[in-house]
Amino acid sequence: MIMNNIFDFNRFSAVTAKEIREYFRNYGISIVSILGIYFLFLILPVLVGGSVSALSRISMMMLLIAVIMIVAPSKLYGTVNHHRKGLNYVLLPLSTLEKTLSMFFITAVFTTFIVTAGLLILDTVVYLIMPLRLNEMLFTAHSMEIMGIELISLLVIQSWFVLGNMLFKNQKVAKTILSLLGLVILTGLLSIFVFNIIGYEKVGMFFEEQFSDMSLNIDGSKFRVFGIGDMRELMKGIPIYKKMMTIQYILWSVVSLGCWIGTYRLIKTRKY
Amino acid sequence: MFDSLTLALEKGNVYGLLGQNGVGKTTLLKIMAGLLKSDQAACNVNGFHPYKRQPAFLADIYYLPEEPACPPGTVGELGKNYGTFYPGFKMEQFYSLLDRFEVKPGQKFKDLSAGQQKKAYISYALSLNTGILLLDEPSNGLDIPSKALFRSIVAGHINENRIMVVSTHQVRDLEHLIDPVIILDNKGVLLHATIQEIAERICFITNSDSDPDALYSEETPMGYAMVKANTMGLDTKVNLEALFNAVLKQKEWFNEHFKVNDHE
Repeated sequence: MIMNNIFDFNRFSAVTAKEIREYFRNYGISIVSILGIYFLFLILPVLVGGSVSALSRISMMMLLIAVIMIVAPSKLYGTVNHHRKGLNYVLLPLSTLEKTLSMFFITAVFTTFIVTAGLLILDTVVYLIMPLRLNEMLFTAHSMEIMGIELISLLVIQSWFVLGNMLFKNQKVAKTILSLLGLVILTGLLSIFVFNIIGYEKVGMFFEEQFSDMSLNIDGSKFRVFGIGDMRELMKGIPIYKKMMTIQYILWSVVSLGCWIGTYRLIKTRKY
Repeated sequence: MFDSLTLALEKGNVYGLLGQNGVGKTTLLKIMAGLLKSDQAACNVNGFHPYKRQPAFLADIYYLPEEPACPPGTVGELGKNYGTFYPGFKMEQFYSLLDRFEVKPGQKFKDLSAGQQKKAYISYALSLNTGILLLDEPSNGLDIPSKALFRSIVAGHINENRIMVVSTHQVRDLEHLIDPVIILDNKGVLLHATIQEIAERICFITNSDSDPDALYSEETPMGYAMVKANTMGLDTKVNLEALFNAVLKQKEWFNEHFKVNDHE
């Protein structure tokens, strides 16, 4: 029998099914804990006679989703690069592409879906029980759009943690956070260097020009800042906003793709 | 690790890979399994470069380390979650071997002793039915009855389509099982011969007096256990431990009389 050594859908489905079978044993308690924290977040203010706004609920939800997404690679695939614990995984008769794609499906798609759906369902149930205390329902097109955009940025950050999980042997999350901080500092220093070359006066004038249009936009409308999504609407008033967003999305795609390609290479070439 | 090592293995055998600590037995097995890097031209297993770890290659090979990690879940789940990816895996065979080793499939791995975990892994490795099975110190951690059972089970699982390579320094545990014998040192292969070839060329005798012509001599309560050139055509039982010591002591003699290149 000739085997396809690059990609076979049956093998991919089989490994994904295996990883879903193992998923709740490895990560079930963490997900239930996150749901529990969110439930307490909703219920505690209500018990003392307060209410929880939609903005704070979305912010809390995104924070919890971020935690789950960032920790997922090390919880689910933390042993893959271990010289003893990773042997059964590396010896599985699957191609590196199948292993990487199943890892992508489980960490990026399945985890995100499970935790987001779980939190939204919980929020809706609590809202239906106590509609007056939660003010408004989150299951609206507007809040879904806001969450969707934030989830995309979380997926980019998660891909960095997936790479960190393969790169570091222990304390994977902490080391990846440090590497991320290092990257932020490096970008900051690079920006200072570039501003120095251009000249701070020119940079200042440029931003003044851009933001003057934005203040006009605010003055001319009754804008209610609901959350980050509305902030984005406001930002549309800046002339170079579209270009900035295009650059941001290109950068996100490049970073995310780079991280996943790096993960693929590390799965393929890891020595045990 | 190795200055020059040339080795060709044939199906239908249980190769015994012997050598002192640190000569690279585990490294060699890991290279063969694709767990460590080697040049494409240097190592070829079933027509594949192992380090590429292609599914067709991985489906026909399994490497059992000396100290396998304790996986999460039960023993049965190891077969269910991982074994099913191997085309030759048989769940009934896995359960039957576990039964012979007196390990229950429903037990959690973490609740088993190191010896029981080893037995569970040996059952798993054999029931994968891969064409190549690499066992690193498989008898370490097994109690005395289990060692005998292990020999019996492995002997029952060798067939003309399968190669087993067993790395060990517990040679007595694997006597009557391994054939041919490969003895390594840092520079490469010191001896690669079948038990029959060994018995034809050297003999293992015990005398009350030591013989200066012996290739190796060791004082025991029953006299001197010696390894000598078989010039008289004696038919003696191969003592692997004495053979191993003799090879390490008389490298040139063995190189001259066994022509390692015959098996390359």
